Amino acid sequence: MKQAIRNAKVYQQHTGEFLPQTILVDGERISGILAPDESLPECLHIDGTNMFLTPGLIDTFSQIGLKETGIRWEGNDGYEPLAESGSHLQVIDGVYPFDKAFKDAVAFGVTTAHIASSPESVIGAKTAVLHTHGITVDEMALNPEFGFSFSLGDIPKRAFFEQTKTPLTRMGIAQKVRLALQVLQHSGNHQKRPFFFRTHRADDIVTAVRIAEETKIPLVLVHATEFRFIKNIPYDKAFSVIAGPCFQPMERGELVHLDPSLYRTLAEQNIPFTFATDHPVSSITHLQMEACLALKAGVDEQLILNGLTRDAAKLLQIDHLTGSIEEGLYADLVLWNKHPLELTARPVQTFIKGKEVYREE
Amino acid sequence: MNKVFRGATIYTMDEDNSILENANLWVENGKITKIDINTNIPNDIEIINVDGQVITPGLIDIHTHVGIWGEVNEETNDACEYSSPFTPLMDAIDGINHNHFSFELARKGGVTTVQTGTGSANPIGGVWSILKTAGDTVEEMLLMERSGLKGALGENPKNVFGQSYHKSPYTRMAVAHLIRKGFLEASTLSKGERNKQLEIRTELSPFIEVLEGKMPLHLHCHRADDIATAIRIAKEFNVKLCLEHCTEGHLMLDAIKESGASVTLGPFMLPAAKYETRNLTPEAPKLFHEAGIPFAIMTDHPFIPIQHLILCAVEAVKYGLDETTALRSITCEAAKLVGISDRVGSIEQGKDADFVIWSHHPFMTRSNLLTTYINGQKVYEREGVEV
Repeated sequence: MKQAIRNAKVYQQHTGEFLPQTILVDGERISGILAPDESLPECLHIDGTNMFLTPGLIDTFSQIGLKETGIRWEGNDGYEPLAESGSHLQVIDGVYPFDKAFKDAVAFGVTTAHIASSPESVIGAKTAVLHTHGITVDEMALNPEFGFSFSLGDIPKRAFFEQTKTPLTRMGIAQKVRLALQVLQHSGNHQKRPFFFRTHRADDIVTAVRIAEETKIPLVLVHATEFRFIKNIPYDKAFSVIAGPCFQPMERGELVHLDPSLYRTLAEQNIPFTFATDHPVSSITHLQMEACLALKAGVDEQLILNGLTRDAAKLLQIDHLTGSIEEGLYADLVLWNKHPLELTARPVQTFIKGKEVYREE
Repeated sequence: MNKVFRGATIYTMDEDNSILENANLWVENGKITKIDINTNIPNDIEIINVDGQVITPGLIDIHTHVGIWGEVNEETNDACEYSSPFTPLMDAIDGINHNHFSFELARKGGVTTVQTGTGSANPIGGVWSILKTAGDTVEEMLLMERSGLKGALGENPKNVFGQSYHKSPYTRMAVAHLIRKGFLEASTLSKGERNKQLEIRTELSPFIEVLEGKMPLHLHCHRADDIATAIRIAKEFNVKLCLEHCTEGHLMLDAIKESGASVTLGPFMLPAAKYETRNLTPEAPKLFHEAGIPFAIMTDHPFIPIQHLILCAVEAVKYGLDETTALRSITCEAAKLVGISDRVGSIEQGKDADFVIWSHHPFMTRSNLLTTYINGQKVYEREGVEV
């Protein structure tokens, strides 16, 4: 099917502006970008006048579908307590596509999510990158086996104690991670896969950096709550941060210093970062609100909008498929009623692979 | 000390929701003495230039656990007395750490008054208090020491006592019975017997205070049947009821309106984590407003951190509530519902000088909170700002 989204203000990732354009979609892909006055081919027309068009937003760290909305253990597949190491598991085997949260995702412009284990697991299952709409995970998958996730700090400590009634220290956690990395490196199973480290406290951030340096793995820090306390990160290799979510319940000591100024600190230090909800820690519906909090904290608008889209796609190695409005990429698009960084903005229509997956009532 | 804040746009949140442009706010001895436009200001008065900025009343959150939950670990958490499901003698002020960082977060978020106290594990939990969020002792911060008896219906008491501790209550019936029990016993007493109970502060004394209309009954309820049970119990004993959370209230608006109960909505910004909250919707404030039922919006801190109260109001706007009602629900309406509107909740002559100065209208993304004032004293200032 051919469609044209006409005359919306389209996000320009190279300049940060919104310019009136018409986007052509052929089947699953974007097939052309026209100036507003150019004549249109015969196809279904969607009027985008006075609306804003962005690529679909990408939640770069989430448990959506893995921890189901509205029930407790029955719908929780985020943590396999008795597994010594989770790296033989895959999150894709635990995701429920009919979780209400996927409907919320598309209603708030999130078309792709990177799904990882809950923070209780020191060594998480293999992560997956999925579209947020579909009947089976297989048809949703952009990459069914992506990276490895690790979790440092209070949560795995407490979870281990509750399971085994024996304590686990931060030293013990670091050893578990080192051991798992050795096994993965021996098996050659880690080639080109990124390593995601959930960390909040400054010492845990530095431990993640230390381990990455020892083992020469590409490091992605997740959360990085106390990043501003670290003056000089002793790691010269490029690394990136999946920051936040800065909006979440505050029930643990590790979160006492959580503040959206995190985004400004990262921007000031020129460290590449993207956004995440860690749904259901925050809600998938608040990915755009995290971006608003970054703007409030003083981060540049273009950096923020790219962090929600193109930069997130690059981090997840799917930028050849989605994350930008470019000919040949999937038509993962969101039409907004207002500028997408207004706190009260909402999607009017959301498309995944050219298919309308949400329309405002 | 006489001060004038000159040149701001003031959202007074008075009865008419008056908005004054380029206005002056006069403050003396911790009170608001005048709000006017274009008057000459005498030389001996300190002028604070807030030209182009926005002033709102200090925000009010009437359902929180500020200062009592701890937010760090069990050692610092004094919110639920788990030793028994029936603990009417637990007074919030004995559990509140006035020096706790959550008060600082409140000031940072422009929240100048909170109602705080026991959590929702106990069918009868204890007595809540209303406090300003700055002060050197709890006593100094108190606006109302005994602001209501707090109880809870539904999953939380069932989970904590039935499922975890293997003792009563296991069912909703036993939860309701525990709440009713106190009122049943108290209501059979003669006036003299009541006074005796109050004097020696027995477990019946908070129930007597509620029966005599000295404070309301706050009941935590999510599911529609729990809301109906709360209304039923309040009606049986003819006591003033505040429905806390009221998550499925949007499914039974007529019944709630007829009951005349106060309503505090929230937290509605996080995914439902349990079965009884699965019909949670941020549309609730809009639906209550359309039904003509007044309400306040809460954070339930630490479940939504207190500094984000303003974002809860914005979320309601995002889902269709008008901006004025949203702002009222965290200022004057909240004050009215708990009976403190003679002191706080609006910017009017004679009220406490509790207000917030913002760079832009607080619902705008680019808006930053600049300073917070309580009783005319600056209690928070954003880094890099000098007002």
